[in-house]
Amino acid sequence: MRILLVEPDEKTRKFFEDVLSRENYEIITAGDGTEASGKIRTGAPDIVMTDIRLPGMDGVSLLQWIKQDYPDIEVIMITGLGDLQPAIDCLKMGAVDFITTPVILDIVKIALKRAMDRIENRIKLSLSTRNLETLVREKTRKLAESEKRYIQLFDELPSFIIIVDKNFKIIEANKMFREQYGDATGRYCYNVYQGLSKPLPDCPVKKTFRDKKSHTTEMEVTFKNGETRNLLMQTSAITDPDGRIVHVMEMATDVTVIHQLQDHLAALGLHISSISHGIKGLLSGLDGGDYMITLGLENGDTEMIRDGWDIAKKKIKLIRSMILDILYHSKDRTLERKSVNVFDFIQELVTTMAPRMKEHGISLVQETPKPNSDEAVWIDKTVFFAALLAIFENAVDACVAVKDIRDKLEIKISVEQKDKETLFRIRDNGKGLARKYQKEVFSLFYSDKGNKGTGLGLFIAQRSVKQHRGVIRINSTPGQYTEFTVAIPAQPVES
Amino acid sequence: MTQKIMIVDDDPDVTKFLDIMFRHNGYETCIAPDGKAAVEVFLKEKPDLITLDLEMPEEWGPRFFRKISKAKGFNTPVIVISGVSGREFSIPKAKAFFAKPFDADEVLRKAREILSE
Repeated sequence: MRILLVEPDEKTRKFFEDVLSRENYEIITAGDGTEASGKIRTGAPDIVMTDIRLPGMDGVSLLQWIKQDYPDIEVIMITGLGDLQPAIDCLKMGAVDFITTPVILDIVKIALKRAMDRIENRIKLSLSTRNLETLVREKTRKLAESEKRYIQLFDELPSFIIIVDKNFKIIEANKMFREQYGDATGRYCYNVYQGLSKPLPDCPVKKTFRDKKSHTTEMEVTFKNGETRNLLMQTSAITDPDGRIVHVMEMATDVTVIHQLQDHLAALGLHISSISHGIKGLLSGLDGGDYMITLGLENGDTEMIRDGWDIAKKKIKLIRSMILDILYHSKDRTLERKSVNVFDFIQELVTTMAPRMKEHGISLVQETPKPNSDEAVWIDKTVFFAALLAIFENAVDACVAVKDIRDKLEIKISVEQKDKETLFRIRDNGKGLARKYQKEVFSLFYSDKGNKGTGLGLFIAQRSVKQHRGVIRINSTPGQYTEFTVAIPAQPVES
Repeated sequence: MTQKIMIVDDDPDVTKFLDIMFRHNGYETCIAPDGKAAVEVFLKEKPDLITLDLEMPEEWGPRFFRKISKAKGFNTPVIVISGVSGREFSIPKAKAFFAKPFDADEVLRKAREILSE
């Protein structure tokens, strides 16, 4: 600890020097204010002890100068006993203490102790302030970093993620969502995803707002490139610190590939079951050939052998083509689209169904292109024909179901060409379909025709229309009518 | 007197197989390719035994059976030979059921057993 002693009186100065040196202080001295200010600049003392009365610049001015330019230096004033008022003024100006002459050693020690305490406190304070600042800086950096990471996580997750409020309004969306749907902030999620004007009755967001639990649903959406995809949506609650639910997060994952796989497996299964019957017949024929050849060999009957071998050859050929068929089907069949005349197409459909309609007295109304019109659709005829035939057959079945109670049975088929799509409508005045079954009719093996239905028809229809990137819509009132609308894009949309 | 077996099946190769097998074993045969024709053949030929396929064009086996079994005094035994699953329930009164592909010796043995009753 270095002390600058400013004292004009040499005797007093010597006295202080002696006393303070014994207390292990390092002492530098000055005789007046000007000298003192020079030593403060060069000697960097921790404490200045100065007489109030100095030649030239007096002690009070020195104090003021020190407190202004070197606020960390503690100043102790030395004053005569009768001079207390200026000493008290000095305390107000920032001096740590004053001592009176004649000097009492203990008072000097107390004054110095007070000055040192103050210095020590200041060091402690500045240290902890500095620590605090570093801490805050560090925490801020970490916070910013983790915030950045969460935003990145939110953005880069390969799912569509949005956060919605109680009114289903989107308040935040991740990158994948924004890329597909643009800036949809402020719009309703059901509107953005499915073009609806209000949420569905079994909306999972609604459920999560009610019970805070996660719910799932599957939905079919159309991407901006026109592709129809299946999304699996999961919701989860976002709560405030009090546990109140404020927002719901919707995370939608594209599960189209899984759907395609399911459909493919189902179709393969059904294909195999349909051919297994054929195979049984073929094997019986093969046994017949075998029997005849054996019999011919036993009896030396060449003609019998030849007949048997003919049958065997024929069956082997059929089995070969059937196996190739299975192998072919297990691959992904791509559509072979061609421009098909609408009139011809509808005629073929109507002709196929005519016998059954006639049998049940169902009349046909056609709102389709006239003969020789050049209206055409871009379809794989075999695949699309199967779809419309299944729907048509369904219409006939619906009519037959109410045959005994309805006077006039009628099926109307119409084709409407729009800018971007072609609409095929098949409407019957049969038994109708309750709303809750309108989605189910497309699922595999669903049938409301008892053992008469296979539950395959509309499943296949749905599949082939989807392959054409089209949609099937149902309108129906139970007991009155059912209308199937098949909409397929007019121009080929190739991915 | 030679006994007569009527074969009802839409697959000509299967009928040929059964035809040769039965004739080779000393029976007379007559053939019908579907349920509708089978009624006429049945009335004309008066067979002692019928082998019947279930799934055929025009008229299915069960329907044919219902038609002919309605006639008074009908007691012609029937053996069902079919690839359709659930064949056991199609014609409850049938004497025997065989799945396709069938074992020729088994069918013959069964036919012999029924005809000797």
